[in-house]
Amino acid sequence: MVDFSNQPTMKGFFAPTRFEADVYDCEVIGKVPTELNGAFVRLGGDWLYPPKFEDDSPFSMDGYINMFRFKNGIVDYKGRWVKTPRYKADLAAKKQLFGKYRNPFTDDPSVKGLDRSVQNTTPLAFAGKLFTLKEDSLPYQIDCNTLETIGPYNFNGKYRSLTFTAHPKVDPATGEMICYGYEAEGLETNDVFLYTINRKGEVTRELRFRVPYVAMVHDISITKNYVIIPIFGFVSSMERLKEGKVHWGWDDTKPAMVAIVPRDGEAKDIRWFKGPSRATVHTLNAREESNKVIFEAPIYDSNPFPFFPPIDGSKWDPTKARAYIRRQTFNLNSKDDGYTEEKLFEMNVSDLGRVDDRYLTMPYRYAFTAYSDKQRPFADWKAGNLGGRVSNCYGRFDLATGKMNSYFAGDTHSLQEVCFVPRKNGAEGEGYIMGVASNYAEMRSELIIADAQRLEEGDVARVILPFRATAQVHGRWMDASELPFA
Amino acid sequence: MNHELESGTMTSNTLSRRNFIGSLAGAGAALTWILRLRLDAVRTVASPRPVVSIHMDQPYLDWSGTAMPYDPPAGLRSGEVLANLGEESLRLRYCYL
Repeated sequence: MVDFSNQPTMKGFFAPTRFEADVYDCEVIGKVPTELNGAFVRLGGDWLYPPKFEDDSPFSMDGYINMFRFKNGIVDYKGRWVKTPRYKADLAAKKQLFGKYRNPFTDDPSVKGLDRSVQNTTPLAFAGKLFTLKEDSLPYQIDCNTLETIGPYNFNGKYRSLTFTAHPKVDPATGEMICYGYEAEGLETNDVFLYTINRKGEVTRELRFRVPYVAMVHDISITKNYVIIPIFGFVSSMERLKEGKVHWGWDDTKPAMVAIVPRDGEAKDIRWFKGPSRATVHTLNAREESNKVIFEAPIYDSNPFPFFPPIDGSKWDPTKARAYIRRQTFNLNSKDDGYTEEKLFEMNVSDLGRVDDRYLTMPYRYAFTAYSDKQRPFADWKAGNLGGRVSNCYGRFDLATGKMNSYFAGDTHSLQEVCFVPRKNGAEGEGYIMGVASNYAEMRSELIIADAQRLEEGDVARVILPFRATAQVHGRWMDASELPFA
Repeated sequence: MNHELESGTMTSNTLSRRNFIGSLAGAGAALTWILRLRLDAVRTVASPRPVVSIHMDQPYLDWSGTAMPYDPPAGLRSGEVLANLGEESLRLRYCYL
């Protein structure tokens, strides 16, 4: 029998929900634009059973996928567990068998050798298929109508890395997906396998290379000719795992390193650049200007995650766990390995930023992300005393003018990652933003939809769920043309 | 009722302008007095006077006169469970909030 009573923070709004659900023809405040035909698919996690270790990372949550299916102005909701071998083993045993984040040495001996992936990071639609992604394993294919788990997918055996990134990039010009796996040959190896997969789902290119040290390689950017791969201070080692520690620790002595990899080149063609310690967990976009590669991302000053603590035993510093939208410029003709960096906006933001994906690899103007605006009201008496500590706004950051427009969710709400949905044939930034808001006064989740060019006007529609949806890591809009929706 | 009859009833159909305006003023004053009486009657039934009470460190007016605890709507303050955590403890569990 499951017991969460000794988990003091898993209560109230944050108590695990642990159920699968269908809600047909959801309640809506406002009017859902009828031009939206597709689904907002979100992937995140919930705890089927409490974590085995109190200090385990929330990234160990069991994967849960949910979908808001839009058609003719009606929205249906569906939520399902991602039923990995790990999920099934725990359910059969009626307890948590798996230990710390990406450390099999802390697991129950009965699950030795079992795929311990939780599939809780990013949903992906590609080549007519729906996938869940988690960077410690292969993608899992999911039925796009039932959300039932089909199983791991290796692109007909041609994808040979043991791992697959949670952040592949699809080149809008060619339809190719650029993806990779790090620790590609197994736990604690410093191999990276980089792939090009065409729009039909066929692997067309593989490049294998090594990174200077085993590090988290969470996200990349692409230009027409290059792949930009940042690595930074999250480090690991077999010794660390055998000591029973969580996979990642933070090493502040490690410089930020960025690989610029030619998309049609060899490992010897890779240029490595080096800069001051930073954490580039997620990216926005990149482009080429003459001999320069320009890369933009919401980049943290230092370690953003206290559950991946400093390896020197020092205390995690929350003042450095702040992300700012930054531009890094790499001169491919330079003789040294330095690069320039500038902060584009002075305010700290959520690093879960998005752009209009039709403009990946190209010059672009708008970035979208959430942020906490302490000047906006927060009704502590209705929501709990979380004012100033939650993301309550979405911002549209204009990289051309330096201005920001914002959408406010309400005085009892926080916001999860924003998603930009382009209007068909619209210019850059024309379309909608979507994201799930947590309503702490009424203990429910609400999908907000706003005009991306009129954020100050508030929602055009708000889809109301009569319960809390699971926590989300990443969500993506998938047009009806991308998947065989019913 | 007697108060209404005594203060508001007009007995003549022929009115001068002065009388009409005077009667309007009187009727207005009477109406206000009647409303106050009715409101006081309701309040008398509910409570002699409102009591300032405290629920979850917030003040509210208790009109019930019953001293029963405040019963908030379901889900109210559902974020409170994290409110007293320091920044590290909060982000240890919920890095994206």
